[in-house]
Amino acid sequence: MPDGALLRLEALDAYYGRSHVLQGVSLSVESASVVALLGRNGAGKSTTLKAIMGIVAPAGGSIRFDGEAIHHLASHRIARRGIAYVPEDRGIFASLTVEEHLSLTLPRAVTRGPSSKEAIYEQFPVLAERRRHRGNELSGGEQQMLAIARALTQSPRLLILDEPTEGLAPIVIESIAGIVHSLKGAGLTMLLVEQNYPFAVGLSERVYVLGKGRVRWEGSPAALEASPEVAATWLGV
Amino acid sequence: MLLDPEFLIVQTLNGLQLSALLFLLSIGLSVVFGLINFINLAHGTLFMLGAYFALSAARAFDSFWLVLLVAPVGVAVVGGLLYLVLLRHMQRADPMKQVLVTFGLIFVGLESVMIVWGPLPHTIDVPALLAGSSSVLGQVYPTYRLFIIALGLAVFLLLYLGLERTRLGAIVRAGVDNRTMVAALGIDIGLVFFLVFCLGCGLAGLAGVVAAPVFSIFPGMDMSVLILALIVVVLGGPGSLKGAGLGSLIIGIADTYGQVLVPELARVTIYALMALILIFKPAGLVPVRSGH
Ligand SMILES: Nc1ncnc2c1ncn2[C@@H]1O[C@H](COP(=O)(O)OP(=O)(O)OP(=O)(O)O)[C@@H](O)[C@H]1O
Ligand SMILES: [Mg+2]
Repeated sequence: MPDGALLRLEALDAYYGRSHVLQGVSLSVESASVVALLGRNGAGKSTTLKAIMGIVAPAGGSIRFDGEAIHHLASHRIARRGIAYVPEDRGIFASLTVEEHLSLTLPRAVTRGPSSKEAIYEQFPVLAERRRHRGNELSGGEQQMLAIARALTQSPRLLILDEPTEGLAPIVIESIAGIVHSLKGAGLTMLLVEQNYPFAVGLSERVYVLGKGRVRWEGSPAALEASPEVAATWLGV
Repeated sequence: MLLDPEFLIVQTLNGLQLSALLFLLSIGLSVVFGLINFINLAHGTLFMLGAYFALSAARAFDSFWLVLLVAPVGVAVVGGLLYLVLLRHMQRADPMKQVLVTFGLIFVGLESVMIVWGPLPHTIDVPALLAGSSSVLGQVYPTYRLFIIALGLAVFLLLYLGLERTRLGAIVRAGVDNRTMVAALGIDIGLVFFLVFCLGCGLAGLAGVVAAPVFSIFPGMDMSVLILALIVVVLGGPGSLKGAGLGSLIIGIADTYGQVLVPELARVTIYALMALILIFKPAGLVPVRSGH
C-alpha cells in the first residue's frame, strides 16, 4: 500500500448476465476523505458499490481495502473488515423496530462510545422518538436516517452511501446533508454515490464521473465546476 | 350432527390435534422457504424419520421423555447433514432442479426406512403418564391427544418469543425480509440459516415422534401430511410464524371436519379453501416480505 488509500478498485469488471456493466473501473478513496461517484442513471454507480460489498461478484480486476484484497470475500466478511453500506433502497427491514435495527450488529450490549445506541439516538433524535416503531411505519426520511444510523452501529472505517438524498423532501435532504457533513467533520471516510450534484460537490474532496461502465473523468470538485463540458456529457447538468 | 355438542367438541379437538402436528411440520418448511426461497419437498420425510427414530429410541430407552428429546435431535442432525452435503449447493439452482432433487430424496427416504425397519407398519405405545382420558367440557378425550395440542401451542409460543424477543430472532426476521442486507451488515446469514434449517428439521422430527403413538408408522406416512404442510405454507405466507400457526389451524380444522362431513370430497374442500383464500390474499394470510 504505497499510497495510503483505504479503498482501491483496480480495473474492475462486472456483468449482469451478458451485459458488461462495469468495464475496468479504477478508483481510490484516501483515509479520512470523501469521494463522490457521479453519473447518469444506469452508469454503473450502484453496481460499483455492490461489487465492493460482495453483493455482485466482480468478473475481473481487484478491490483492496486497507491494502488487502477483499473481492473474493463473502459479503459479511467484507462488512466485518470495517465497511458499512447504505443501499439505494435503504434496506430497512419491514418487521423490525428501530431499536432492533440498531441492535442487529451489536452482539454485546455496547453502551458507550460513538456507536452505542444512546450516542446514536442523540445524533438522530427523530429515531429516538420512533424507537418502538417498525420499519414499514417510518417515512422515507426516517428510513434513510435509520439506514445511516444502523451503518454507524458497525463503527465503520469506510461508509458507503448510495444516493442518500434520493426521493426525499428538501427539508429532509437538508437534515441528511447535515448528518453526513458532521460525519465528515468527525473524520469518517466516505464513498458517496449521488445525483444531487450540489450536495455531492460540496461534500467531497475528489469526484469520479462514471459513464456507461467506465470512469470518464476524475478530479477535484473545483476542477469539475470548471469543466462544464464533462458535466454536460456525463451528468446531464 | 353439526349441532350435537359432543360431536363438535371431539371433532374440534381432533382438528386442533392435527393443527398442532401441521404447525410443527410446516414451520420449518415455511421459514426455510422464506429465508432462501427453497422448497424442501423432503421435509415430510423428516417427519417420517422422526416417527421411525422414536420407534427405535422407544426400544432403547424406557423414558418417553428421553425419546421425545433424542429422536428430534437425531432428525435435526440428519437434516443438517443433508443440508451440508446436498441442499447447500442447490440454493442458487433453478426451482425445477430443487423440486426434482428434493422429490428424489422422498424416495431415498422411503427406500431407506424400508431397508432399516421393513415394509410393515409399526405402532408405539402412548406413554403411561398420558395414556388415559381426560374430560374436556364434559367430554371424554384421550389425554395424549390433548398433550399434542398443548405441545403445538407451547412450541408456537417459544418460537414467537424467540423470534420477537431475541437478537437471533430479529436476525432471522430480517433475513426473511432481505437476506442480502443482513449479510452486508456483517452477519453470517448462512450460518444463521443453517441453524434455522436444523431447528426446522428437528421440529418436523418432533411432529413425527408425537404422531407415532397416534397413527401407525409406515413407509410413506409422510405423503399426506407433506401436502397439507405445503398448503399451510402457501396459505399462511412463506416465512411467517403467525401465518404458519393460522394456516395450520384453518387446515387442521377444515380437513378434520371435511373428512367426517363430506368424506367423498375430503381433500377437495381443502384445495377449494386454499384457492378461495389465495384469491383474496395472494401473498398468504400473513405476508412478511416487503418486496425484494
Ligand atoms: N439486477 C440487475 N440485472 C440486470 N441488469 C441490471 C441489474 N441491476 C442493474 N442492471 C443494469 O446495469 C446497469 C447499471 O446499473 P446500476 O444500478 O449500477 O446503475 P446506477 O448508475 O446506479 O443508476 P441509477 O442512477 O439509476 O441508480 C444499468 O443498465 C442497469 O439497467
Ligand atoms: Mg443506482
